[in-house]
Amino acid sequence: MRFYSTLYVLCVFLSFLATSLSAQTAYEIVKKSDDLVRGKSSEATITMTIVRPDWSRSISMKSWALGTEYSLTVITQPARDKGTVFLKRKNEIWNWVPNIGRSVKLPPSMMMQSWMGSDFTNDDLVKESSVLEDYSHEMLSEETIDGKPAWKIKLTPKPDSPVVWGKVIMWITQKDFHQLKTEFYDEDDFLVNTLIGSEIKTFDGRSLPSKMEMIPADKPGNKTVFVYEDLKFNINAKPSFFSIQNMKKMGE
Amino acid sequence: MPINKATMKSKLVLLFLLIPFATATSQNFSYKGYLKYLSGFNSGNTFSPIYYNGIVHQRLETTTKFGEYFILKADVRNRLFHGFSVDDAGLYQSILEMDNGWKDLTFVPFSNNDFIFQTVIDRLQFTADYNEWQFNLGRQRLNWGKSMVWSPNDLFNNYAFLDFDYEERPGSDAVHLSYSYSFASDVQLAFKPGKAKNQSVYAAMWRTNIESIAYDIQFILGKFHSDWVLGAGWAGYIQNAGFSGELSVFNPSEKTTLASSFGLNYQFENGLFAQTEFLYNGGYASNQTNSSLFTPPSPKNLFPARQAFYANASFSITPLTQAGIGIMSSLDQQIHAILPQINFSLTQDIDFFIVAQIFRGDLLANAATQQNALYLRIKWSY
Repeated sequence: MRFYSTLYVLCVFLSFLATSLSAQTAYEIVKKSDDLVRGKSSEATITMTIVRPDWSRSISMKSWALGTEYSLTVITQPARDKGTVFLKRKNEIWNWVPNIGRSVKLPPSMMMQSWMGSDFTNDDLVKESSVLEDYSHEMLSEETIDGKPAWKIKLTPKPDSPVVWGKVIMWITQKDFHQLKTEFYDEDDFLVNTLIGSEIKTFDGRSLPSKMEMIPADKPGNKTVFVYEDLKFNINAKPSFFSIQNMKKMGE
Repeated sequence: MPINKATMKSKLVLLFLLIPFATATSQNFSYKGYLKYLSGFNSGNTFSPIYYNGIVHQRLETTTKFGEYFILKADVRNRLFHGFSVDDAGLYQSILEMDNGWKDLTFVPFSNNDFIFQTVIDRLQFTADYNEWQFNLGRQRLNWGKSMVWSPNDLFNNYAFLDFDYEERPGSDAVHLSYSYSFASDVQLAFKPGKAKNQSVYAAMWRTNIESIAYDIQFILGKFHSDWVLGAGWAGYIQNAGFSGELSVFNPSEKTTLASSFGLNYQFENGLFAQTEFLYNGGYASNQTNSSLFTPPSPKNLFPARQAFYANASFSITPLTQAGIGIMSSLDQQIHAILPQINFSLTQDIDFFIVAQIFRGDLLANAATQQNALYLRIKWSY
């Protein structure tokens, strides 16, 4: 069960790289910002921490992705799950269970789960909604965030888009196009989640926030933190890299 | 002879212990493992007396890479037993000294009236990896199964599902060669020499993936002891549920035997994970014991009944607490097991696990006086 539910982290990671929340015009700013975190393929080392008032748990992994169809993720921490690997090819998912040396095919229904009650909704993660295609974009104002001049942009879902939010407000810095703050509102206009980007680092020649914190509005002391330790874009990964044989090798 | 054997054993242990130190400076060495303590309470239906057994259990798994192509994997399982079973009989030690492999890698370094210490090297595997080719020699796990509980395709290292504390499951002393030619396609050859005539296993497996329907399929042809065996297995989806299974036909001189298992699994939106499996066990013999429940069975005879099923539901009560209940039962024999369990994540690396095994049915009533078992386990992973 734990191995299975860990799978979801992969989707969290992918959603950042592949469909990250992303306008001169508001649209162009969002697009420029979104392009920063996109690549046809990527390789990432990442740690995700769920923080609750009285406990926290972390999981670290290394992940390779090609588009949204192929990914391979190896769990490196915690010790209990080290060497567990997830392979996704289109709609098929396999799991390498290192202690028994076996690959297990997982049911698609497994994709619908979150990991340890993280603060990311299913819609954040699996529904491949695009900040560009599924929203209309409107410039609200210019504000300062973290001491940096930024555009404040409102994203409103298009009528038939697969989006659960009523609206999304995004602050994008004018110099580097960093998304330092994003607010997610429900259809009744109540704030649900705030995503904070910080700790700017240069990965593979791109300057990006290396830390992302998702903070639910109504649960004090709760948050989910992503830290990118390493990130490479447009790596030389072919579909053949995403194989059961490589899954097994990564788990060793 | 005993001296020679003991000397050989100590040399092996020494070699094993030296591997990590000899290579500790190298980035090519990695290890992991755990330390756990299992408390077991067993009792009959009157709940008196209650027997207590405890096991301190330490595991170390090491992987050493030599250059680009070679890997040595060595895992050791150390257990210190105490309690009723140790006090009761010397038979226990003789069981703990047994090793079913081609090489004896099981040792009992010391024992007295209160404690028995057992060391088992259950993986000692040399791997050569060259592009699509992989060669494995030594004690390894050759996992050819597709099912979760009963595995007729697992000709080399079958396992007892109810032996929950052996999480890694046993390995086998074998030679294995595989050639991969696409993302989920390969051809594998394996040979496991037997200690005596007609105890060897050798087999070839071809497996591939049919992308259009998202199914993995495999076919096996080989010799299991004195039987020819023809096997097939699959794993795919029915809608959003997982559907997998296996079948093996054993053809000895006297009688053809079919063993097959298949099952479904599904995770509901609320997080509940449900799993079922059905077994047709053609090798069942009416005079057999219940040992296949607790010790690794033969793929030809996986259960003390002709038909069996297993159903399991598990879910998270809180993000840190997972609970589940399993039921194992038979349609043709009076044999039922109820298996409730709960796991608490106490810290990042410490888990507390409680599981009960409640057995009912005539078959077990006659065979076992201890029909109720409760186990508590604390585990620190490193």
